[in-house]
Amino acid sequence: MVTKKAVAKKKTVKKTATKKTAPKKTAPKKKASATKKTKVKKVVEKKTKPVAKVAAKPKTVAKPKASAKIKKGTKAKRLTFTTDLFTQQELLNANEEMTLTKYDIGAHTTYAEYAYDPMQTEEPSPVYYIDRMVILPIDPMFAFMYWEVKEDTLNHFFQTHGYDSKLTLRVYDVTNINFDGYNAHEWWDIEVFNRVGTWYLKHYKGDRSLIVDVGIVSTDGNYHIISRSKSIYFPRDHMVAPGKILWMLVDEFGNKVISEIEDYTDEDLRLLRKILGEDRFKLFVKGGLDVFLGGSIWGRLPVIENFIDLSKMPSSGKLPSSPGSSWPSSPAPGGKRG
Amino acid sequence: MDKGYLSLVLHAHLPYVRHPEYEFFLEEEWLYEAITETYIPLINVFDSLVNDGIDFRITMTLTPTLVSMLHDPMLQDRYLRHINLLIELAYKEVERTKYQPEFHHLAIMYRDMFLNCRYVFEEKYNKNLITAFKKFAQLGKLEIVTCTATHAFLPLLQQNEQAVKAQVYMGVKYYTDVFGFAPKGIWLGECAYYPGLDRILADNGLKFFFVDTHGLIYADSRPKYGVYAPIYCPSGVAAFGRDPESSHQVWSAETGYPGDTVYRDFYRDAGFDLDFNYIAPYIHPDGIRKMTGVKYHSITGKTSHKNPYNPHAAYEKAGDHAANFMFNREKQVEHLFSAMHKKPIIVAPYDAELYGHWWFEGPMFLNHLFRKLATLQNTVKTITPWEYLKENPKNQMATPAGSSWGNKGYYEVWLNGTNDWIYSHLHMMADRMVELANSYSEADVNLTRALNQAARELLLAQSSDWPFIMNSGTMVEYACKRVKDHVYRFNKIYDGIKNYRLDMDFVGKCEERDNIFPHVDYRIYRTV
Repeated sequence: MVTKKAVAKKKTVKKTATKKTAPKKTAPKKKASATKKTKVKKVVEKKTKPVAKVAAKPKTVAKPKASAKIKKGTKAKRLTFTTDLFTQQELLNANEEMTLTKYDIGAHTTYAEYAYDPMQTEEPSPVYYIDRMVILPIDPMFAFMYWEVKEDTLNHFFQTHGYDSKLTLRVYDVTNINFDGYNAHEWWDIEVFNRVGTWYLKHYKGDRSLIVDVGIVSTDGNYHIISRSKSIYFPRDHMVAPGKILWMLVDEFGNKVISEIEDYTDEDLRLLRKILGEDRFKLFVKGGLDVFLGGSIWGRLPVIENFIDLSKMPSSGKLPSSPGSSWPSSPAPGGKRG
Repeated sequence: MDKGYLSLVLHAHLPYVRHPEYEFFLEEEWLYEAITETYIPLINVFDSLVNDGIDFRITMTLTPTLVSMLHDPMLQDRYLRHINLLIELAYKEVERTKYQPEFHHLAIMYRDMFLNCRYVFEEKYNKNLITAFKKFAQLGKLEIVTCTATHAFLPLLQQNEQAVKAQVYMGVKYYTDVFGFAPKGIWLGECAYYPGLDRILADNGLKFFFVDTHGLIYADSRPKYGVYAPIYCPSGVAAFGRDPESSHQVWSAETGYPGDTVYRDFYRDAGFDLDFNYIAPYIHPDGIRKMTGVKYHSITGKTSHKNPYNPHAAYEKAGDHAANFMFNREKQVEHLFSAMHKKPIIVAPYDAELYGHWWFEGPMFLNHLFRKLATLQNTVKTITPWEYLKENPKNQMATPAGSSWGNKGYYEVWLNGTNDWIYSHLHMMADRMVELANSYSEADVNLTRALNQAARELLLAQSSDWPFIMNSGTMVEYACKRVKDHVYRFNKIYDGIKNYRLDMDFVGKCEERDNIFPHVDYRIYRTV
């Protein structure tokens, strides 16, 4: 099996591919935890204090969790809450660790034992002998891409357009447009050297849609598409601007009626602040991955070792100032469309 | 007067693990432990509440993979073997500890608990626990929602929309076949949503689903009431958002209940503590030590020394915690009601296995909580999402943001350097399945069997559990093997069909192993 790491390490990117060093990963996260800690604690105390009237010994409720000794042979760990912060990230972490305990029985079957399986399985082939380009969203900033170009296809393209052509991924920002191949807001070229590969892509903001082509750039500068991905949408990481509020009535049978429309007012904003609580409201309004402490880009470097940072790459093309006009730097009309 | 609602949601799920080719298979014990420690204790709590006339409402997901396993005769028999072995061990433990008063009463507790499990499982519900859950649903106390067929992570399958549709369709169809009525709601695997998915849910007759807090707050129209009222997607399906306050109370270090020092410790287990020769018949036959479920110690503190577990103190503590939880919900509801001028709904979803398996006293906590809520206050009322929607048919319209309840809030847990290799296979299998289904609107008996089995292999490969486990770094071998097995079996059947060399012996072996969804129809993948 060709692992992702192996594939990724072989590749080089002509444009700037940023690699960060490990020490940066945790520093901002810890700082954030430290500064937030006391602030949120206050809120929690306020909530739990009156419990004394109902629950006889409230102080035991607030005791930090003990971390238990882990038995030999088990790799699992007790849920570890190292901070008393009340963040969305803490809850999400707890979800994950909790789910893991479902599978913790103190032991697990190893590869060696599968040798007894009478129905042996062959390793899946990393290629399927097709041309394809796929992009998948990971979060508001990251996407994962994989592609395959058949050897025959590549040879054919090189024969037709010249052996000096470069195998290239072309990334288009197609947010809120019906993409016709020429009307993207922006596009970037990424030269790649393997006809089968994977890569992580860092985009600059959420709430955008991207499409990626795999193709070749011939020596005359034209781009010839081999395969085009479907459009993907990066999840939103912020609260949207105030707008209209629509109210819908749905009956038991699923009949829908949009009953009222009203404006989102300052009063609504105050209400949201009140019901979410001041601290969480501020985080959500601020938006971005900071809502989830530890959710910053540095937090994901251990698992994403190689990625292309689009924000640091010069865009290959920009949307012209007058919307709807033709795109002067668009791929040459002679280019083959997938 | 009621000023608001609490909707507790327990998400009960395990991936489909069934290995007839092995007499003992460690990963099958995920199910056996969950039955002993979570499902039967929850059933006992619900039964006791019903018997005592306590009015309560709770919502549970029973995923199609879990329901399939609970229905499977082989796994039912193996669970009986498992519980019988535990009973035998417990009797020996009662004898062994008779001069150790601090442990003896615990040995008796486990003996009685395991005997009760066998009674509930074998005699009371005739080895089929689904009938128990169905009973509570029919009594109107429990709302059971479905899940995608194999708990797939749909945002990463949207590459082939038909694959997403098939996951939702099979989740609804299987539920309807088993329970005899259609589900009103769905728990999307890992709470993972992407804009547009709700249309597929609406097409399958579903009325509501759940998203994490930020899924609702970042909706495409600002939610007027935050997560304390659902929103309707343009398709008319309602999305309920998770309340972070109540989740925090159960999970947080500051006020999290399960970490209290008097509660039972999860890791100190007789399977590791006792002499090998003594414990050997009750661990893996190959001599691999594993947990038995017999645990004698409390969490105690940040120390390797653990005190003997005191069930009476733990019971009292669970009562205290239930009172604390109720008190905080009352205060929360009063606060929200005064701000919103309408009754809020607090949606508190948890993994069901948190209650009992991880937090041994969790079912006790629920028992206390429902009794206190029903008798000591009248500010908060428990409700199911469907009851809430019937009472509140008018809600804000907006589309939630893409999100999940995984670490960091989006899709990273299921797509990163540890597990990204699976997606090229999953997408190709889906494309090939659609190709096959479109090619054969009709098929003879053998071809139909092969096509249906291909659909099963695809569905099983799509479980979100496999990339989740790969990401965790533990038990990775099993998750990798499962994906590779299903990819291999699918592709072999596909090649056989395409090349007119179908190996029916191979198809038969696959049917015997991966026997989920006996009535699956490959035509669910047709797009023409």
